[in-house]
Amino acid sequence: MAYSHAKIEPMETSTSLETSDFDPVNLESSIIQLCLQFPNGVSDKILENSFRSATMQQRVSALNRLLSLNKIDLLKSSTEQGTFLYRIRDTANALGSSITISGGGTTDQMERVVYQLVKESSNLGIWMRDIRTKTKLSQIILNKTLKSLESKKLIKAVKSVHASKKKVYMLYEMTPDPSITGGTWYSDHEFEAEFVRVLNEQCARLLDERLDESIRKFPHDPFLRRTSSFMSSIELVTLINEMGIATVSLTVQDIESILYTLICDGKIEKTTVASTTNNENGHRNNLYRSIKPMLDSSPVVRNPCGICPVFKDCHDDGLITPKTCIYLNKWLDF
Amino acid sequence: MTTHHIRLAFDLMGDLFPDETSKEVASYLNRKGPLPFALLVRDLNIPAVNIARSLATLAIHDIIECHEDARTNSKRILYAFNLKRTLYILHYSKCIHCARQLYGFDGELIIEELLLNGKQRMSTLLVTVYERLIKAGKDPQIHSLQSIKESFKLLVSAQFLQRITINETKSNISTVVEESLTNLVQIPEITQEGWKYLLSSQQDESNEPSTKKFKSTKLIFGDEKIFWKVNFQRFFAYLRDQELIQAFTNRIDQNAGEIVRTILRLTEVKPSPERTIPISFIEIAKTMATAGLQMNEDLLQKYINLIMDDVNNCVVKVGDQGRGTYIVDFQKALSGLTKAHIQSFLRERFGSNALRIYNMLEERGCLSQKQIEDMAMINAKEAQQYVYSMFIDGMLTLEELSKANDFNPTRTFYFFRVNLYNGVLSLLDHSYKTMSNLMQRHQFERERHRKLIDKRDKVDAIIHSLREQNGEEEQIKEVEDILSPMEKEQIQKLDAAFRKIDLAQLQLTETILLLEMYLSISNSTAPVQKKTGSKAVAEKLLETTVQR
Repeated sequence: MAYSHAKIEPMETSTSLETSDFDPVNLESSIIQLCLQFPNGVSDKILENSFRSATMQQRVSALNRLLSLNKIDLLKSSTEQGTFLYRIRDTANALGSSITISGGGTTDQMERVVYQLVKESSNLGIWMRDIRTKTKLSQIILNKTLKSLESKKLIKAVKSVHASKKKVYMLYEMTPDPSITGGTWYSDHEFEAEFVRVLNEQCARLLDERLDESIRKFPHDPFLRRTSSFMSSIELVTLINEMGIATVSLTVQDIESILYTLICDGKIEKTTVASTTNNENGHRNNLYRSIKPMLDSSPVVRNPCGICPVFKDCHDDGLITPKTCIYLNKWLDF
Repeated sequence: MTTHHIRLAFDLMGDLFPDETSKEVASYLNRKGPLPFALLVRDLNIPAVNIARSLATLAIHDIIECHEDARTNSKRILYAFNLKRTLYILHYSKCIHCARQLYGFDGELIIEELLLNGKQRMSTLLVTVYERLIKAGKDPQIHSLQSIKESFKLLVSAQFLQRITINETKSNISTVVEESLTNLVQIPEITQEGWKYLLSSQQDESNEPSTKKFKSTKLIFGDEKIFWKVNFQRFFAYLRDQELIQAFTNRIDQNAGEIVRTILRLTEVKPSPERTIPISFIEIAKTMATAGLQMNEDLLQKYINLIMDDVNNCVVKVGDQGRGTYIVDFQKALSGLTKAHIQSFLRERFGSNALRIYNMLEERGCLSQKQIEDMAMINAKEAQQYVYSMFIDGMLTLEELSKANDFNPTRTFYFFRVNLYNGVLSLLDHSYKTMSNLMQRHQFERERHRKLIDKRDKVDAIIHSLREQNGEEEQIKEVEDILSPMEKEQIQKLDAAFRKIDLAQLQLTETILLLEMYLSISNSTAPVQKKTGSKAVAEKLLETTVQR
């Protein structure tokens, strides 16, 4: 169609040469208005039909100018094969237009593409290698692009807490997702073992106190003793937050992970009951209770051999023997 | 069947049978497998008489078993070394102590005599025990022959002793008669002559010279062909029950322990290693009432509900007859107890963080190194260290899951798993070695201070004889002063050290017993692993030798 038009149009342009001077600017604004009317995109055909007065060349140059000003997007139509759609670019995203692009057209295209990818990864960020595979740019060019975008304060690099060498890029004002920074237990990309330990001890102490209380209250009834020594995770969260050990307020999930480590230590046990109130766990209440161990210590470790660091090297006739073992000497007071 | 296992067995044998021949014969048989007598004589540089004597002694103790050579169909007898039975020597003291607790002095001496002599007839046993009691200064009226016989009867009915008869046709091989419930007390009655002799010896024990008592002909007591030996399995079951009761007492309280004790006692009638017979609630309540423990039925029900939730859920409710029927599942009980031992071992040896990782792995099945670091809330480097040290010690196993066909390390997942069976094996080996170490140190200290110990013994003997003859205080003091104060101090320290070692050894035997029982019960359900190639063949060979 375009070609047939091309043959006819040159005849028309000669007649409307005087008005063609105004047409470029008007054409652009009218194209923009048309695009605004159809936010899903204006096809080539519609443009042709709307602007019969303009030549194809004028239209094409107007469209190119609009594209370079980043006011519209060029898209391929999915409904009709081979045609193009022009879509108004979101003004909220007019940041693109504020990019003062220097250095020529190709770099700014690449920057735009890279910027688009980074934006799509939202708060998880995207790794450099992924950008490379998606855009198929070479490393050097990609590095330059990323550097320029960083200097324009559009994207930033965030170090992951799990792999310290890996950097992901995300938009400047995005807050990184908790999976990268580590969440409550990590501060400055370091695991806060001390904090976790303190919380651990506090929870254990609270549960132990509750157990002692229940023993005092019900010395004769074991069942009541057991039920009254339970504390729910919500109760524990409120207590811990009141104590003010942590600078941030902890959620039920956080406390439950601390309590899970206490279960693994063998100090407490857990039961789940249905609850009437709708809370974070959703109709389930987790109860915890301090327990007494089955065995205070195994006889295997009651003698020095159980915890001897050189146990494997100890032989009958060697440098390390039971006959002259210094640990045994100490144990027997020799 | 590890080095430490064998080493410990020979140390124990050396203690009990101090002559060198027994040890040599046993170690040779252990190395070569079952051999006939002729080969032993040929290969060892020991006179045949000595070999024969030691073989006889060891056979009576069941440490060496005799069986016919089935392959060549000749009438040769093969002698095989029984490693397991040798290790039972560890538990001798505990068995004697149990007998003492349950059946008093009489019971203790009966068991002690039987343990030291292997197998004996009842008549000889009664005589020896009686003589020992009298020598120890016990009142003959209280500890008369009748009372000893009564204790003997009780021991048999509780199945602590087993009866053995000799097969007439194969006169050198004995068979154990399984005591079924029906022919419960087949105590041989001693003939009249025998009783007369025994009673007469009881009455004129100190005054008459021995010539009068000796008759020219041998006495027939009536039980020439009936021998008795100690039933180790029964003692082990008793010790295991004690451990279980202790665990329940620690977890809940004293009353719960008593309830479990009642349940276990009621099921002693028909002991089996896997689980007990079902006991109803009413029986438990009745027995507790007769035993004097005041507990009303509501409280008992509450306790039973709590007990069912504890120690790996080993008390299981199987039905509702009689207001609830319960059994004790020993597999679960033993695995719960061994888990506690392993956890304590890990806690003391590697730290509580390592224990945390172990428990986490047990709950979650299998985890990779990265996942462990994330979930355990421990420093990543430390977590790695703990996981690898536990892996080296055998508590964890590694499983490789490859993404590709080649096991490229970058493209394979490495999962760690908890394997209780392997953990128990390694802990048991550890305990054997510790036991050997303690025995060695004991031996060494005794050798080092031999002169001092001898001196002290002599002084003690002199003092004892002086006191018997009512010597003067001055004399006694003089004798005591033979030992200088520094020596006295040294002896005291030495005694304290020996006591400590003995106590440690005794406590260790409890653990060893528990671990071995766990292994024997779970042998039938050992984890099945993929067996391919030469490794599988080697494992199969090991299995068959262990079973022998």
